Parts: sequence; C-alpha cells; structure tokens
Amino acid sequence: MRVISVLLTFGLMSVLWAQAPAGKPGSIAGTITDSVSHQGIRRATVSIVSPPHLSRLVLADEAGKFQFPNLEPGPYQVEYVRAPGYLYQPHTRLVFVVTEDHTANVQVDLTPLGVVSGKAVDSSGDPFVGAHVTIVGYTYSKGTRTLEAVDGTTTDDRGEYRIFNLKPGKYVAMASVPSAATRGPGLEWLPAGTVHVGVEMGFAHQFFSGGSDVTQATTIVVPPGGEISGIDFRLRSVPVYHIRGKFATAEGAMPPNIAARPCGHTGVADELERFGGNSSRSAFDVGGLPAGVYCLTFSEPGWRNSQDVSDPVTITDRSVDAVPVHIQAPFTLMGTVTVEGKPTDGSIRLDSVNGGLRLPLFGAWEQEKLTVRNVIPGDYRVGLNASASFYLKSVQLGTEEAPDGVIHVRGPELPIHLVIGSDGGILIGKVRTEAGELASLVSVTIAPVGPFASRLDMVRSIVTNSAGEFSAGGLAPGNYRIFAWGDADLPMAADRDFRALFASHASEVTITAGDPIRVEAKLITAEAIRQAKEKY
Amino acid sequence: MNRAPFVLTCLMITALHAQSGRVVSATSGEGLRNASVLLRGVGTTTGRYLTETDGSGNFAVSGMPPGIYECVAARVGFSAGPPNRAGSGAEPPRVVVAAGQAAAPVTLRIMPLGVISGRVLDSDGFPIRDATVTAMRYGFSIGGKWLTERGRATSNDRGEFRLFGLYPAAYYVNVQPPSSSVEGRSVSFGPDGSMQVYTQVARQAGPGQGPPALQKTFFPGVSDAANAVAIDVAAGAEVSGIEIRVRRETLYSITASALPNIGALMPWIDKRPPDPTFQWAGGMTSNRNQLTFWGIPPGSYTIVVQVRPPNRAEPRQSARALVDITDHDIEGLPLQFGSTMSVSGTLTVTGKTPVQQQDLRVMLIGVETDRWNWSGTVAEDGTLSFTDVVPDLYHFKVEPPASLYVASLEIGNSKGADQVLDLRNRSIENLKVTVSSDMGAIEGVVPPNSYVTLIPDQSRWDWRIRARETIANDDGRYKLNGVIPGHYTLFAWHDVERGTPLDAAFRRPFEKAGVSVEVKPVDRLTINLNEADVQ
Repeated sequence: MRVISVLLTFGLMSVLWAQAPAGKPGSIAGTITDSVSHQGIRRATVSIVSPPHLSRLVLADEAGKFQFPNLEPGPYQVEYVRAPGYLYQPHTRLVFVVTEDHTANVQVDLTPLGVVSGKAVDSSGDPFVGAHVTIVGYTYSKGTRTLEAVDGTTTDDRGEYRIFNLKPGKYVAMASVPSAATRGPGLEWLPAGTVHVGVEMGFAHQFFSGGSDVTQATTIVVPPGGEISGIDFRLRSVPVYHIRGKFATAEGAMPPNIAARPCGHTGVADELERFGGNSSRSAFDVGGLPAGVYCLTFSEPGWRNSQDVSDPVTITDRSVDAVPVHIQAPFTLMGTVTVEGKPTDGSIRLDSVNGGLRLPLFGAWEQEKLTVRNVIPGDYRVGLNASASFYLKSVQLGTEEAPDGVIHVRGPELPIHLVIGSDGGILIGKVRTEAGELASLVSVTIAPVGPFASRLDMVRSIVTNSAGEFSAGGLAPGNYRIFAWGDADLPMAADRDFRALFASHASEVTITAGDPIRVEAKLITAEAIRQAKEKY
Repeated sequence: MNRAPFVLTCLMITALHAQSGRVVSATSGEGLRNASVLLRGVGTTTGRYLTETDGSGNFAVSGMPPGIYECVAARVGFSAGPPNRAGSGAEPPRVVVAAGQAAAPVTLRIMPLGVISGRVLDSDGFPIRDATVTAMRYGFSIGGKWLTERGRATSNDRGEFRLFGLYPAAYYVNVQPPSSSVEGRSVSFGPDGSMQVYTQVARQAGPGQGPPALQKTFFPGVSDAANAVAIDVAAGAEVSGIEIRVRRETLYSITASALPNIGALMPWIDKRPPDPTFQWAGGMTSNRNQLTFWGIPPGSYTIVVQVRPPNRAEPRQSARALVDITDHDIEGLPLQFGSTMSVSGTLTVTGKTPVQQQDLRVMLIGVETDRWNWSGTVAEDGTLSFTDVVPDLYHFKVEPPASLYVASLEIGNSKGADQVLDLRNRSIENLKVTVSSDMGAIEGVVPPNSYVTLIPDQSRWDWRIRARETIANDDGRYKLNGVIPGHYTLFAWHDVERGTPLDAAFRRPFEKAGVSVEVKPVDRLTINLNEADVQ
C-alpha cells in the first residue's frame, strides 16, 4: 500500500480549523533577541499570516518585545522575523495555534551579521581609491561546495572599505582593480584604437594575504556579530598585456563580446573578467592582463549563457596575438533513451554545472528518441523529472559513461544515451528526537552510497510533516544513508564532505523494488551540527 | 664638411612629432604623478594616445602624426571641470603638433575633488544602515529647476557615509531610508491594534494612525529641499561631521465615500500648490463603496476622481476636492460628481513647410499645474475635439513645438493666441485655432565652441517650449532653427553648466551682455556676438 507523503500544508490546517467554533480572541506575544548578546532587538519586525493570506505585522519595542493582540483562534504561521543588521532566515516553520483567551508565547533568536574592513594602498603606501574588494565564500547552490563572491565593495578616497552585512562563516577576501578605476574621471572609457605610449601597467588580483591563488588565501572567520578589521591589501603595479584575435560573426548577428579571466576562477569571474573592445566585427582586443593563464569566454547579452571559446592562453612577458576563437552556435543534442520494463515517454532536464546556460534546459523523449534543443557547449548535470518508480540509471555521452551524471557537451556530434530504470523503490520514514518524540517539520537528506554515490541528482532533501513522517519514491535500488537535521539553516547538507562528518549519526537503509521500506531516523542535534560546522 | 648639416637635420627630425607637458592641481599648481593623459586627434587628425605622468607630473608622447590634438587629463580624486559643462571653456586644451616645429609643452590643470562625510541617525540617535545618501545640486532644463544627483553613498552599520569625488560646489544632502526596513513603507493599524501591511492579496485599508515611518530627509533634517541647508565643498577639502536625523512622520489616509455605483474609477492626487517633485510611496484602494488614498504625509492636497462609465460613448463624470491633512485620517470625504467638459472646433494649418497630419498633436495644459493635461484629436478635415475634460482652466498647446506654434486662437468673438480656455462650468463649442509652421531661424558667428542660448520672455506660460540652445562649431558658426515667433534675448557663454542660463537669477549680472531679438514668422536673422559679449 502506498502512502503519499503530504506535508501538512497550511491550507489543510486551515480547513481543519474552519470547523472549530469562533470564540474569545487569543493573542501571540514574545521577544526577539540577539543570539549572541541575548539582548532584545530594538524595532525588529514580526509578520504572521493567517488564512486566507492575511498578513499582520508588528514592530517590537525598544526591548524587542512584541504582541499581536485580539487574534481569532486558529492557526498562524510566522511569515518572517527581521531586523536590520541581522541574518534573515525564514521562520515559516513556526506555526502557532491560538486558542481562546490564551497567549501563545514566541521567542525568536536572530543571528547578528558580521563586518570585514580594511585598507588598500599602492606600493608607495598611498591610499588606493576604487579597488574592488570581494568577499568570497562557499555556496551550495549547485549541489556541491563552490566558491562564489558573496559580497563586495569599492575602496573610498582614503583607500578604506567596510563590508558589513556578512552572514557569519568562513571567507577569503580578494582585491581587484578594473582598468577604468586607475585612470580617473573623464577617462573611464577609452575610444577604440587608443595606443598606449610607454609600458602599460596595471594590477593583478590578490587574495588576502598575498597571492593570486585562492587555495593560498587566508581564511577569515566571521563569527556572528563579529568585526574583522585589518584585512588590508598592498597593490603593486605590474606590466599588463593584450590578448587579440579574430572570430567570425554571423550575418545579422551582434558581434560577440569576448572576455578573458584567469582560468579556474569561475566563482569570481564577474570581478576578474576583462572585456575586450571589438575593433571590428571580426577582431577582439582584451587589455589590462597581467602575466598568467587566461580562459576566453563569450557571453551573449540577454541570453545568460557563456562558453569557453578557445584553449587557455598563457601570457608571459608580451601580448598574444592571433588567438583563434570558435563560437559554437546553439545546436540540438540528439540521443536515445532505453526504459527498462514498460516503455514510456518522458522528459529530462540539464542543469549547467560549468559554462553553458545559466537556466536549465529541458529535453523530451518519444519512442526512445531524445531531443534537447538550444544547447551550447558546457558541462551539464542530467536529471529525470521526479516520478514514483522511474529513476535515471545511467548517462552516457558518446561512448563515455558519466558516473556522476555530468556530461561535457562540446558540440552536436556526440549523442547522449540514457537508461531509465523502472524498479524504483519507496521509502517511508519517521524521525524521532533523542528523547523519543516525533520531530515535525525537520529537514531530511537521503543520499545514495555505493555506485550511485557521486550522483548528486539522486540526493533527496525533504521535510517531515507534523507527525514526523517523510516518504520518497522513485529511488534507485541500492544502499542509502538518511540524515535528519536538527538545524533548519543547513545549505551544506547538500555537500557529501559535510555529510561524511555525520556518518555515525546516519541511519542506513537498503532500497528494493516492491513494498515500501520503512526506516526510523534519529534527529542529529543542533549542537552536533554546530561542532561539525567548525571543522568543515 | 657636408656631413654636419645632415646629422643636424636627423636630430631635428627625431625631435618632431612629440608633445610634452605637465598635469598639475588647479589649486596648488603642484605636479600630479600617475595622472593619465589622452591626446585625442581632432577633425581630420586621427589617432589617440594614452600615457601617464611621472613622479613630477610630467608626460611626453612621441611618434604622433602631425595634426591637432585635444589633451584630456584625468586622475582619481580630480576632475577637469564640473559635469554638464557647455561652452568653449568646457573644451579640453588643444595642441598643434606640426612638422618642423618643436611643440610647446602644455600644462593641464585638474581640480581636486572634495568630500562630505557624516552619519545617518534616526530621531532617537540610533544609526541607520543601508540608507542611500546622495549629494544633489540644482540643474536647469526646460523641464524646470530640478535637483540632480552628483554623488551617492550607502550608510554602513555605524550609520557612517562618505560622499567623495565631489566637484567643488554647494550640495544638498539627501537621505533615503532603506526600502527593506518596514519603517520605510506605509503601514496602517488594523482594528485589532496590529499594523496591517498592504500585501498583494489582502488589500485592507484600515482606519487609524500608523506609527511614524522613516521619511526621505534633507540635511539637516527637513522634508523639502526648500528648507534644506546646502553644504559648501571647497576644492580638495572634506566637510565632516554632517549628521542627518532622518525624520519620522506619521502617514495618514484619505477616504472618500458616496461614489457613483457604476463605472471605473480613475483617482488622482497632487500636492497643493502643485509640486513637480512630489513623490508619494503610498497607494490607493477602492471597492464599490469607498476609495482610500493611504500613506500620505501631512499637507494640502488636491484630489480629482474621474468615473469612466462602462459604455464608453457616455461622458465621464468627475469630482474635485481640496483636502488638508494635519494630524488625523480623513474619512467620508464628500465628492461632488459633475459632468466633464468638452471642446470642439476647427484647426487650420498654415505655413510654407508642410506638416504631416500624424505628427500633429494637440493638448490642453492645466494652468495651475502642467502635470494636468489632456490630449485631443484633429480629424483630416480639421475638426478639433477634446472630450471628458475635467473642469478647470487650460492653455492650448500644439506639438511638435520645434515645427509648429499657435498663430491664432478664437473662442467665438474672443481672440488671443494665448488666451485661457475656461472649462470650469461649461464646454466650448466654437474654438478656432490656426497653427503655423512658419518658424524663424537665427544664425551667426560667435567665438568658437561658445554655448549659445536663446531665452524667451519667461513671463509667458509656454516659455519652456520656446527656449533654444546650441553649441557653436570650431569656426564659431551656430544656427538655431524652429524658433517660435516672439521676443527673445540671445546669449553666448564661455563656460557655464548647461541649462543654468534659463535661471533668471543666474542671468541677472549678465543681462547687459544679451542681445534683444524680435523674431517674426519665416525670419532668418544673423546675429554675431564678439569677444566682449561672451561671459
């Protein structure tokens, strides 16, 4: 017997409550406090919502106390709690049932944001105006840990900067200088064909403290409400060069904008990319480049895609001319799909992992023939749209298997081949706290171990209902680990290396086709998570 | 013996086609190192050369083909001149690089820029973070006198801000509280005592006062630029300690009832007297029975409500009310609905230049405020019509103003091209308008690159559409086309901010330098101004 898991939705709750008779009003009251100082947060705002989407909002007083008086009995969900200078986390899992003549008490802690500050100087020690300082941290948006710019600013007339809305965490800081910043007002833009007289000097990007390699950068730990000052940069001017080359622009198309960035810095590409002016419809010239290895990309404005257009270019001590560039127009990727068991049609999605389109691509297969349109070169993770018993068993591009489900698409030549399994299993679980209580509205991660361990598309993230139950279908047969998290804000749960820290806390289960498999998982405490975050 | 002159000639040739110079501070005269210098070819001279100054501020560029080059100097913290500059003084200095001559070194002066720094606080003295702080100056255009942004900064977690890179001048400093804080939005208390926010789905206008919300504020802590204090920034100087207390103001609502039962409502609100900078972040809600404007600061307002009947052929109704908000919400505002007015008549086009029918547009412009305006139609046969006009006083306007003007306007026996159409109580049926394309033109010779402005009689209601401006070319020739016949004063300027000559107060010391002109239809006048006339 199949049980369809249902998060006890707000709507469902309101249906249940509509049956209760209206009575004397109740209220909600409480305090919003700073999680570090434990002081009340002045003028924090709290918003609650009651069916059918009526929002109420209240400002806490000078001591962080607030109340919503005169509420009709029924369910209320917190929409948000926020205050300037504090981390915004949705608190939508806080649901209160207001009963007659009774005050529901609410205590919410908000995490204070941190500050990183410092100064940039030139080699003479004079203030460096207009340097870009970027704070780089780990994000988990692509299912794995990647370095990305999270905040940034520009140094002022004293060479100083202050970045002040930082989520507590571990970061590195990078300084970069766009060429326009060094020339001053009136010469931000140079006309095409400007000849530089004398040796062209510029600035290489630098991480704190020293070096252009992010792996050598000093980790800056920003605690909640902490201020890290003295993150300073000394910028030396270095000779800079050009990368020039030719390309072909299709009739009627806009000449593409070729950009160069140091290879391997995709997360901070926006800060480090230098664009070349096009002197014609067929030639590009990117300047301001210190010695290094560069990857040239082409971005089509308005299409939100980018692709590598040449092999990496190495600059040693002179400009590099005549770099060949190949821009691939969007093409259709063809392939086949084998469905084990009963043949069906279906659809897949391709999510860009590196280069390619920033929006997902969709493809459909009919009678085993697969078509994905408007593909440009890039690395894509293939995923099957969710279903109850089907799962993506294997992915192949040309003759190469992709055990992690990521295909490296260079052109339309190589076909894609997918095998869909139909013997997916069903998992039904319960989460209990250490004390044995059912844990409602907690996140659960279901991750495969074994041959499918590198398949990020097979990692499931679901939330238990108010009865502490969860379920998932269409799971490929095999072994899985179940993690039940006692912390609502955990984007790193998507990272295998983070989960490895909790191997002993996880429940193991083997999924087979047929009757649902049942499992009970123990909630990992917030304290255990906090300790692991420090090691991670 | 013959070899010596040959060697000497070689030396002379290698010394040619070079330009040297120095970049200095316009105030102290000291050389500026690391300044960028661009030599930009002018006219038939192509080629652009970029270099940097050395430790003493000197630069040298060689290997340039002979010609005329503009020299543009730039350095972080300095500027060649204020933004929006017009006139020969605005042009970068030029050098002539000629074969057979040693070029004289050129000195390029750039002005050190200033800083305004301080803190943004709320009325209790607590810092406000993420507020947008802008340095503003008045700019002039035919649209009027506007505050324009010249610098921008964001307050940090301590409320501190730093506006740097400001050209020496006087600035008004404005603070816009962050939009993310609910205190910047309009809220209203609901009947249960909590604040109700106007979300997309639940639009409930509740009576009662909201708590004071943070408002846009000018230094030192006022709501209007008229009461603001300008901060004088000297070259290269910092004005520090500028503390701005952001005002909190309670916002109120105006509710009107007794609305006609049928039809679509088109409400409109403006400050009284009309204020083109009035920007109100509140909203309106309406249902069958009432119409509410909420989020309104204390002040005087004009409210006009039009009702468009479902049958478009039927005339609209409109009502107007004058409201003063002091310290409480206004409820039950009575609105007296009456018919809207119409204007009909004929429009004839005369003049030597043919005008395309589809380019012609006619409008009624409110006398009290030109934000209040209506479009009319002109049929092929010249029938002129305006319908559903809210009762008021109007001027008649034809567009495009650079090719057409109202030559005559008659309402029955009343003649006068500038006369006001009184539509307060009745419609007008017998309007006869003649528009002409016989514009005038003025041209001549002035000092090269001067900024030439033609200032109309500014007591006229339509002076803005009559003003003209241009910049003379390198030979000093200028031409102003499409001049509406009338009385003007012509000026040529050496170095001013574009648009400032439209300000009568600015012109006062220079009035004598202007040349009076009377332009008649199809006039082509030649007016030359020489050195003495140029400011």
